[in-house]
Amino acid sequence: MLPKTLLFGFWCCAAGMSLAQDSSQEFNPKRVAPAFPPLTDIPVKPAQEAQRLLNPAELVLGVVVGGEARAYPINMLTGPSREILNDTLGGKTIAATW
Amino acid sequence: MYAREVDGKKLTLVVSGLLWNRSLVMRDQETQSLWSHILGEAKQGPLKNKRLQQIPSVMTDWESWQKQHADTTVAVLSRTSKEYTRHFYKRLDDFVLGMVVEGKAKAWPLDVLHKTPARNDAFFGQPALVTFDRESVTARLFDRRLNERTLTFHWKDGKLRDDQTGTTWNALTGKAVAGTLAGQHLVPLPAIISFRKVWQQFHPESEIVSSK
Repeated sequence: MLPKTLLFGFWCCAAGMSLAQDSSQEFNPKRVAPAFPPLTDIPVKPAQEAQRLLNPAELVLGVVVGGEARAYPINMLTGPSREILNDTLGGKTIAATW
Repeated sequence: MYAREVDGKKLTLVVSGLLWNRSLVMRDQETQSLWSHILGEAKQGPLKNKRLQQIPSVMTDWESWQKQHADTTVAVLSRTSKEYTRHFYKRLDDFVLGMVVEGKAKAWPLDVLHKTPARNDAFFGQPALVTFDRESVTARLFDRRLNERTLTFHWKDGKLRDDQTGTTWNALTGKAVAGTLAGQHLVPLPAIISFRKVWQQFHPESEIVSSK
């Protein structure tokens, strides 16, 4: 089990939150878990194939880059190992973070 | 959502296992710099003080996203939860649409947007349009300047139109669908949905729009 503070942190990110911090504040991060391996080469499916895997009401984080649209279903991004997806869309390298 | 490229160098970002002020610290594998996820800024290492570019994204439901973007692809991983649906927003006044740029923060509570689903507003002097789709519970923020003209918007007969040209707009995508501006796009701004309480806790200086 992850400590509560970690989960809280993840939740804040999860909500896509921009938690304000005074950027001049001392940077003194605390280790609460080992580092997670990077998520790269994200599996991607066209809408028609993904359709049967998804519930119409479920939340997605949607993004359009260079005319290309991609959805990241939130229910597949929860949990600390899933928080950062290193992806490429519309010719641009992006990090889908949650 | 960030662009993960700095000065032409592509970065691979990982969850570092570190937290700073209870929020995620990312590490890039290329330089081992540590990044505040919240600030999008490197706080330690060779890239210290560099910033990641924010990319506008939208929180919406699959049904609505697919309807607006028939050609979308989907990142498909195994499921880690199932509770995040449009029914997650039990009380709209618990959530805000917020944006932060260089320490300046402004937020619109979703219940306010529900009452006025097209708001001609501003983000610190920059004319902005805030839209809200009640069915899919989707809030968006756009720059309402187009071709050096500032537009104002209103809903009429279920359609979003601008006052200047009468063009009809899609409130979810910011695209002009019929009229003289058809085919043009409003530029989306990188606003995000968050819990109002947490927003206020971490952005005590944030302007919070009220319904008055």
